[in-house]
Amino acid sequence: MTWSDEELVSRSIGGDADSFNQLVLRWERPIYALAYRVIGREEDARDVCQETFLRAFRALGGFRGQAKFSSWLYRIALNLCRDWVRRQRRTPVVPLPEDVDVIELAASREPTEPIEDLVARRDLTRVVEKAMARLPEEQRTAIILKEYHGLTFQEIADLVGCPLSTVKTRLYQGLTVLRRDLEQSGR
Amino acid sequence: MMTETLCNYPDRDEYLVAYLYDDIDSAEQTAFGSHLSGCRHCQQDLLALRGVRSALSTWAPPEPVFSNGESRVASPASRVPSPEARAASREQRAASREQRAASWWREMPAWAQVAAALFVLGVSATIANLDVRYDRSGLTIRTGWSQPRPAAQAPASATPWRAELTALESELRSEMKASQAAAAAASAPAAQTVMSDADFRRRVRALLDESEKKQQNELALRLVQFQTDISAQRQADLRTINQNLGFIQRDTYGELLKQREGMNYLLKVSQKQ
Repeated sequence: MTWSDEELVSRSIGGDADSFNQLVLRWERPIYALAYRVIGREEDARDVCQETFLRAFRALGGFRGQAKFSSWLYRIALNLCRDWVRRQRRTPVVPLPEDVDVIELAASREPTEPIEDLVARRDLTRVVEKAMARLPEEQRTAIILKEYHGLTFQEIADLVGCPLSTVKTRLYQGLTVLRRDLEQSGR
Repeated sequence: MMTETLCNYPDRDEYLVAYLYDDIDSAEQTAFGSHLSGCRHCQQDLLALRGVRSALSTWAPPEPVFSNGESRVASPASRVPSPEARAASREQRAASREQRAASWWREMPAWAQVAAALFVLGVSATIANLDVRYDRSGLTIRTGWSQPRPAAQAPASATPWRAELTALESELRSEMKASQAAAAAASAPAAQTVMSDADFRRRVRALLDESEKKQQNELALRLVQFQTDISAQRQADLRTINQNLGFIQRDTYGELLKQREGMNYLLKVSQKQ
């Protein structure tokens, strides 16, 4: 039987540790992905992810179900990411991967995907990473939450604490900047 | 960022992005869809942004490996580790011990490492009883086992490098002991539990902060000391200047008196005449 987030939260508050473990299993990858895309550093993203669940566990008793559990979790993670960015006092830099190793790619590619396509895809990923890193934090966060986590505009607005129209404007502006960057890099 | 005035649809950017993500109510979607069919600029913009979304879909984060050595977060609700986790923890502790044992070697300065390498070479040469000569016949290397040792030969003259090697060895040993002692003192106290990556980073940051504070305090103390010295020197210089001025004043006054006496004498003489 698959429990909903809210049911697992209730059971966790009631003392069932395994229920919280289920929540962790369910949300660790999305939270890590969010942290990685916002911060741009693998190791720090892991730390943020771990800290997110630690804080969630400690504050679980105060979760009243006013919002979705996932939104609550995202808020904790985003706050931690914001703290990290402020602590660093610089724009997060996405570490670029090493030059493409064709042998490594050959080992990982899909059976039907030609090497040239794989190289092009890896190259594009690098360009996207760089372009995202250059965006202002608000625009990057809006794009990440919408594009990769499927939140609605209203959920994003509630999460980051800004009006609905602001979220849409940030998204449009961020995508337009990315479009320009991609066009300049020949994509 | 200003949108080019090529389209006068109200809040055009917001509707475009809502339409792009299909996060729009049906009435607005119908209205904007109608607009799109007649607006080339919005059509091109929408197409371009769809291309951007396609590019964004290629960006995926790397596979995470968390501090528990697994690709999943260590849940804070897990109090009793599984047998697999305990085994992994034991391996991690062993690896950590090996790493700490080897770390003192990496912390040694480069010159000490070079000296250690030379020492090993020298010891090997001694063991092999190498006889290295460079003379008119060129460079000759012989192992000592191939010829009988000359008796009663002064060791210092035949192998002058032995004394140097012995000195180097004792210096190296003392340096290695000092490095080991420093590494042992700097390492965590005999903790039985493995320090996680996050805890280690926090500890390193705490040590760095402490070190920075100490340096700042020392700098402040030195600045205060410097200021005190400057002030004292200034006072001394002022006293000297005052003293010298006093001398000058005294001398000047003396000269004035002499000149006045001379003038008075001349006046008296001239009056008598």
